Amino acid sequence: MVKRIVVGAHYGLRDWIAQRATAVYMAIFTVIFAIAALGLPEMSHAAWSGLFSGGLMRFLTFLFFLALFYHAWIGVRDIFMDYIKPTGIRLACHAVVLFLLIGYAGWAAQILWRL
Amino acid sequence: MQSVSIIRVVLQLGETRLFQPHIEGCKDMSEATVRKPRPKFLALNEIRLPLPGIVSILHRVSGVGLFLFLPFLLFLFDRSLGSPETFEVYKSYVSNWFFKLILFGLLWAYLHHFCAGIRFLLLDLHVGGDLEPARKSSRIVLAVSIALTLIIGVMLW
Repeated sequence: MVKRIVVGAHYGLRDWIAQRATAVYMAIFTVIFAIAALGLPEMSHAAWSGLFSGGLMRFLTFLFFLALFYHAWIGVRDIFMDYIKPTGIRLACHAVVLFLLIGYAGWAAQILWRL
Repeated sequence: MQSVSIIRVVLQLGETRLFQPHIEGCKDMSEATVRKPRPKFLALNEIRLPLPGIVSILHRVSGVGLFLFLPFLLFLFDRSLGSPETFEVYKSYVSNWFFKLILFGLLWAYLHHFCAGIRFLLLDLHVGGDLEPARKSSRIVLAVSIALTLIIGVMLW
């Protein structure tokens, strides 16, 4: 029997799983996107925007962006936790990255739903 | 999360066996950490990373690169989808040799992150954790990501 004092906020396992779940989704989407893009007759605005204007592809693409930003958040946060030791600077960096990624998510939604 | 990356490094090095006697040797992990501080060796210029270690650090480097260039990529995506006029703006960007070079680098970063990520997912499932398969798969990751970068890069250039 291992006696140990368990401490912490317990978000580690959740984020560990989320990092992998988002990775799997992005990998699948990458393949779908690559096949769809290769099937384009020409690289024109009409063909390119046509690829994303379908309801399903728009939804899958937006989901890809959300997965990407969540994945990036976990990854960048881990890097800060590894290299930035002063708590204040670390928290400030966390906040900046979090705000940036939320902003990117809004930007991605605007790009896709304008079509 | 730090402990997770440590576990990953251990898995990659394929030296789980080397670590197990230590774990089995002490029944109480909390006491062990108090009694025996783990040695640190962080002379970066002297460390010779094994191949799986190179794949691992490149996974991190490519991730940082992709994160830093997210605004640039989103900007290009935005221009490419806006209107036929903004599509021309997008085209003028991606036909510039300097931006092409950056995009080429980002393509490699994406593909390396992709291939190394699949390898890490397999390691999580205890596939290829031994020393020889771990070395072989890191060689495959490096080679496949560079080959795909060249193929797709030449196609898009």
